Order: sequence, then C-alpha cells, then structure tokens
Amino acid sequence: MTDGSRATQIEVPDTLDAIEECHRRGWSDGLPVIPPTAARVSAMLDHVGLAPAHVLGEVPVRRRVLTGERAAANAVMAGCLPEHFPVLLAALEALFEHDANIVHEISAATNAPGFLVLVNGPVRQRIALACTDNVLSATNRANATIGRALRLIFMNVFESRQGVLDRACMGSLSKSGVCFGEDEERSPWPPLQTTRGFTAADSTVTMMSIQDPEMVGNRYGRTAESIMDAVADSIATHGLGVHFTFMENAWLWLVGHWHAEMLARAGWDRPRMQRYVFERAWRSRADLKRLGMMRGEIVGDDATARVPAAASPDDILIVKAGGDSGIYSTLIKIYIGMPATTVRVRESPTERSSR
Amino acid sequence: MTQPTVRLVDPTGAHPGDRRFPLAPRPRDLRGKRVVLLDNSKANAEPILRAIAKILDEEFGLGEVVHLTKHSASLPPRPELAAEVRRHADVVITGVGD
Amino acid sequence: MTLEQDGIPTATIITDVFATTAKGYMAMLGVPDFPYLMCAHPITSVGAAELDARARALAPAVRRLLLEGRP
Repeated sequence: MTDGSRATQIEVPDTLDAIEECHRRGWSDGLPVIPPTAARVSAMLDHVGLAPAHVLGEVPVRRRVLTGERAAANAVMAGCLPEHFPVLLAALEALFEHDANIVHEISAATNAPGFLVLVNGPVRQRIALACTDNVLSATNRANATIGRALRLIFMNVFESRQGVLDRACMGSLSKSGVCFGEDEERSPWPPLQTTRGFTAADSTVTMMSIQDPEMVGNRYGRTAESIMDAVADSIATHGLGVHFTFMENAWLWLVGHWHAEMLARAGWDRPRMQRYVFERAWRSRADLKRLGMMRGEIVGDDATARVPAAASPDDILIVKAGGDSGIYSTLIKIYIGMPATTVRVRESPTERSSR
Repeated sequence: MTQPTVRLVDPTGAHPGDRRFPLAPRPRDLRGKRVVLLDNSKANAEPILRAIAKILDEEFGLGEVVHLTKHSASLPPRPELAAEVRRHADVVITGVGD
Repeated sequence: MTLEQDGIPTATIITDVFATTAKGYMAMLGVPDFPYLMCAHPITSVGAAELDARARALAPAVRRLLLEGRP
C-alpha cells in the first residue's frame, strides 16, 4: 500500500467477525460486506493503476471527497472483483462530469431515485455482465455488485444515510444500484454508445438517475405500432405525480427480444421509433391537474391541452435488452438530477493515464 | 492467545471537524430593513414566508420586501441568485419544508 | 447557511420532519449548533387559515433569530 492509505487496524478472531465489525461501524447497506482489507483494496487499485490518494471527485455541498482508496474499499465491500472496477470508475466519472452535487439533491429529496449503470461495448463480455435473461435482477457478480458499490459510496463517502441525509419517504428498489448491458449482439439497431459520440468498439457506461422500472406487455398486439402505442401509454401514466414537471423527464425503453424482432421486421429504426412514441406520450393538462400533478383548477382548454412527457424525441432512449423467454419490454423513467451521461470505460492503467 | 490482526481500510469520507463560522452581525431592529424572502421552491413556502413578512411589517415597519426562489430545495442558492439576494437584502427569511 | 457566511442575517425555517436532516447536514459541515427554526410538517397541503396561524406562531422567533442570532 502506498502513501495516503488510511488503513485502520482492527483485531478480530476471524474474517466472519470482520464482517460483523463492518456492520457495527455502519459501513454496510444491511447485507454482509466483504471486509475491505488492505490487500484487497490494493489489488483493486493496482488493477487500474490508481493511487490511493488520487481524488476522483467531490460533492462540494457536502464537503466530501472521493479518493481512489475510498472507491476501492467500497468496491471491495460490495463484492466487486478488480475487473469490475473500471466500470464503477466510469460511472463515477459520469457523475462528476455532470454535477456531483446531485448526489446531495437526490438523497435529500423525499423522492427515491435510484441509479442505472448501462454498459456497452466489449467490456460486457470481459466481466460476464448479463444483457439478456433476467437482465434487471441478474445474479451475475458484475450485475449484482457494481451498482451496490455505488450505493455504498453514496452512503459511506457522501453521507447519504437513511433518516439523516437520505430522506427517501418510500424508498425504491433501484436505490441499491442497477447495472446491466445492452444486448448488442442480437439488436437490430446500432448500439446505444454510437448514438452518443462513441464507436461500436468503445466500451462505455451511460449513467442516469431513475425511477423503479415498469414492465410493458402488449401480449395480444399484432403490429409494431401496437407495441409503441403501449409504450407511449405507459409513459403517459408511469410515475405520475412523483416528479413535479412531466417535461423534465427522459425515458429509457428497454426493448425486449420479441418486441425488437417485430419492430425490425416491420422496418422501424430507432429515430422513427423515438418520434412515434414521443408524439403519443402526452397527458392532458386537465388530467394532470385532476391527478394532483399540476397546481390549479381545471379551466379553459385544459381538457385538450397536451403536456408532452419529454422535451424531444431524443429524450426517449431506446436500447435492446432482456431475455427471449417471454414477450415483454421494460420502461424506465430518467428523472431528478442525473440525465443520461455517457463516458468511456478505461480498463487499463495505460488508458487511464492517457486522459 | 493472540488474536489475528486484520487491517481494514476506512471506506468513509473525511470528517472536517468543527469549522464554526461566526453568525453575521445582527441589526439593532427591523424598522426599515430590506427583507428578501427566499423560498425553497416547495408548495406553500412562498405563502408562509409572505405571511410572516406581513406580520413583521405590521408590527415593526419593514423596508422593501423582495421574494426570490431557489432552483432546488436542497442545494444552496446558485451564485447569480446569491448575488441577487445580496443586492436586495439586509436580512433574509428562508424555507420551508416539502 | 451560505448567506449567513456572506454576512447577511438569515432566519432559516424547516419543517420538523427534517430536523435530523438539518442537524446531520450542519454537523457534516462542521457547524453543529447553527440556529434555525422549526414548524410542523407537512406544509404543502395546508390551507390558508392554518398557514396564517403557523406564520403568526413563527413571526416572533423569526424576529429573534434575525436580531439576536438565536431561535
């Protein structure tokens, strides 16, 4: 371990007791953590060539700094392997590139936005990241631990502690951090990162703050239009009243396998799909007022005035993911604080130092 | 019997300790003082701040009262808003809730 | 708090549900005894008469905080 380490020495009868010690110190998210031993933390840092004292970023409004060592310690606790660390670092880079103060805004809110780390490119295979079956709840180690590491960092380093600076009223399942990959191999469309300034050969992370996802069926639909109508309808009702301004949201449609198959057969490309859904994803002002989503009495032309669910078609992101055992898609609202932000994953020390 | 020793790296953030700052100097009274009501963007924050200002004005005779809104309930005012507050305020009343 | 640091006397009002948050935040920034006022939560759904009553209850403490630096 090089200079800058803040290793605490504790004496415990065995490793399982070290796990209990982590619970006692308030370092856990409620589940057992891997004790962040100096050796494990070193291995995590050495894999990417990061110095312990290197500052990855800070949350200014909380006066809290994230060092390489602290990120690595939380990654170890989450159960990450060193090969997962570059993806976690890319997610953090996206956060700091956008505005790290949203960590405070998000957790101090009584709402409960979670985080999604969406991965593209060859790194998915290298870390065995699930992109198909059970994609939102995969038991692959990378899927289960990368998002968890983020949550532990928010808690331990940025003080988003339940009841104190994390004021979520109802909480959410995605607060534990969701991480998965796009099913690029079976997608009829170009992978997401190519629409965001990167190439198909680039490994990237797209990080965003989300509401808990919602499945979309359309079991008896016969056309591509029917699928998109169902998605637009879901957008128009999903999470109403949870965020103040309908139009500030963006959306992520995880197109399920058989929905993608039908859309591709009918010749739909991503831009056309975005436009089709955008034009149909709206709610009347009267409805929003009636449902307590907008202030004021229902007046004048409220019944016919359309409030769109997004600012533009580009705010409806479309990605293929999920298994082929059933006919479903999933809709995810992107809201409060962190819009979809894409950065490259730097897997090797050389890539990291060439920034 | 000696216990095995495990060295754990502290995964938590820095603790800056006490960094007290003195409160701003207080005016002698409120008569003629210019007030900024800085609402935190939540519903009913503005009405309650205005109601408080009205009560204080009735009793003590405030100066100009200006109402401004933060962009976010939890974050401090952005620099432009803070500058606007400084331009108009002898004192500030801010809040409230969710 | 930032305005107070800038030299402008400030009366901060929070609803009581956020008391632990306020204390936690102030402790985290190193000023655990920063003075503020509390009123009942919630405030969003409250009618005009109740709002007025709360304003009346708060006004003397607001004045004290602005003139004396204590709630």
